Amino acid sequence: MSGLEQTYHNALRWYPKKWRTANEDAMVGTLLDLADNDRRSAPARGELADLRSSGIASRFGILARLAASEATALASVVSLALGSAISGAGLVSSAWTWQSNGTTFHQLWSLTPLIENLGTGLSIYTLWLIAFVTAIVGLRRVTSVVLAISIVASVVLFIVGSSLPHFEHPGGVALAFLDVLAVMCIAGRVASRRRTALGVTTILAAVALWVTWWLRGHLGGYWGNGANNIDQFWAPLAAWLVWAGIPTALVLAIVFGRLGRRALSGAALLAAAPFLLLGLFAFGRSSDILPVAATVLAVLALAALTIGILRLLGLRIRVTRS
Amino acid sequence: MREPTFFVLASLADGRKHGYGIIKDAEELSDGRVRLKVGTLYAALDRLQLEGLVVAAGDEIVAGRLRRYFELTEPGATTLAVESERQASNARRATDRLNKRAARVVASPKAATA
Repeated sequence: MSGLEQTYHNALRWYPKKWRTANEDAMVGTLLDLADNDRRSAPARGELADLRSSGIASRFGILARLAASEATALASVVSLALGSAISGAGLVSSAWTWQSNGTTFHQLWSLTPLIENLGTGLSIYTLWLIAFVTAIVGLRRVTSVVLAISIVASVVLFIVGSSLPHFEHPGGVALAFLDVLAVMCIAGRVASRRRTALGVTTILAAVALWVTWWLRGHLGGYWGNGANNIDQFWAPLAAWLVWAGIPTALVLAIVFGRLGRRALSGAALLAAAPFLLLGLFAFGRSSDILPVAATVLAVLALAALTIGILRLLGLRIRVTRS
Repeated sequence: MREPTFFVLASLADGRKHGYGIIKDAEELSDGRVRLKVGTLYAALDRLQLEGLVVAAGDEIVAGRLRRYFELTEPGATTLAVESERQASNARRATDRLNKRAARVVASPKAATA
């Protein structure tokens, strides 16, 4: 192998391994044909830079294709449904609470993450419901814009609330959770042809929220007592989702994977990801065994996610003994 | 459609070609204006294959080097035809306007420059 050929092979390391396996020899052949034509024994000016930039672009192209995949689109539908159900519960419970303070409906307040005395979090809920309505009527781009506004609004709310001591505002974990859902919705680009799926999933999510609330009212101990928890909302919901939702999502992912429905399998895993993080934060201050389990689950999920992204980028971690 | 993509498709319109052949052909078709870099060419071919406009059409070993051939698909030919017609239409309209301008200049040189 000539020095020039070796130089080209080295330059092509910027491409993902999968891409190199398929195209490296053909590409080096073309590069050498051009060098012969130009009577060169060294790379042409700008040639290596072009290979580097094209290789990097190719790696990000894989991520772009992942973002455009069926699994991501389905996960975005689930995320929008969950966020909308939570927001709907928040608005409904706040309306009931204001009208009939002290009734059983007051308990619903504890189910929702963003309500405080001043009700500033209601702006986030309202934006989410607007996003839901625009998605249902097929205005996909408007949905993404509204969700992006909700992310900006939550950041502003958090910054203002943190800097003003008497300004009540939703907690950072609650805001971050909805922001993660919003990012997943935007990245997955909720398709206008999935409106039925969105409607059905939102109803299912609302029912799941109601079951969580009902269980919270009827079960004692950890489920009914928020004393150890950073937020009345997060503990029951996170406990429910970490112990019931995430295993269900994993089982669904495996079943769909075995059935060859890779998109649905991937969607189940993606949709479960925010709740793993939620579990980590929600149980972070509890002295129960739950924080350990939640932390392990979250760390495993993050490790799997990181390894998955690295593999997609064509990068591998190799441990060698010196 | 970007100009390099147009010339890649145009280069494949008369039959299959390998990477080096496409680069030389695109240069010739564009009167030397477009010299595709290899990274750019293969990125374009990768994208065009994903879009179903181009397919790989066999490998050959020549002097120890792998040559991969590519050819235009029917959707690729249709896309090229639509883009060619669009560019031709634009060119016709621009030429019409220039002809009218030229006629106006001949009729009234002062009005044309005002």
